[in-house]
Amino acid sequence: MRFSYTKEPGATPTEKWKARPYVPFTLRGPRGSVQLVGLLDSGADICLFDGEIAVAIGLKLEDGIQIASRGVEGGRLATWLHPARILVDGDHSEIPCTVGFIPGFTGTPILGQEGFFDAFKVTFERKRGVVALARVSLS
Amino acid sequence: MARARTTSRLGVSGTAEEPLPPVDLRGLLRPYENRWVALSLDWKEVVAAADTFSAAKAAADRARRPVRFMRVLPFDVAYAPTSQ
Repeated sequence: MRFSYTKEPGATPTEKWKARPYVPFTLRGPRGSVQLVGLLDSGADICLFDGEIAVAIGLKLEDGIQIASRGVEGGRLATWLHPARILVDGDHSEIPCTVGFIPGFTGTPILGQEGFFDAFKVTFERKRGVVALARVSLS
Repeated sequence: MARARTTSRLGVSGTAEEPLPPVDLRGLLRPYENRWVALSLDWKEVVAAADTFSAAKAAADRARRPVRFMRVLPFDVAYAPTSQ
């Protein structure tokens, strides 16, 4: 699958836009699914989502495994890990993935290394404004 | 030889050679900084918006339309995940 970088607004109407590698996908849980737009983040250890998304797909946040996530400024946020499934738009099957949920997370859904980058060869072509995903064998 | 397309949805293409249509959300998202939006599946319309995911989902559910959710990031910062 290939996806265009998405142009988002700059700080002012005249500022150059920001182009980011977003991917449309469906996050599936035990009792529900939501369609999301996620940012490909090769520097993130795991996929991360707002805690409210856990509820929407039928997970009880506190039933997960609690870890701490650390951002670039060095703080820590309580994060609950849960098994989920991700289906990228245009892909033929979903991938199992342990993902993290953070209550009050103000970021965008993040598609990170564990699970997601295990399943895909990810090629960023920022100059061309394209990101490509190709499934890889886990064997 | 024919090559299978994956989907015709905006931003997705089935072959490595075809140019991709740009996904330009500058105008569409400008009113929704720091909010959750429910986008129509063709990415052309904001069906619902709210400050939290759950509120955006509730509004989208009331609209009874298929949507995908996106968190609109602040426009005036370079984004890097933080723990604050």
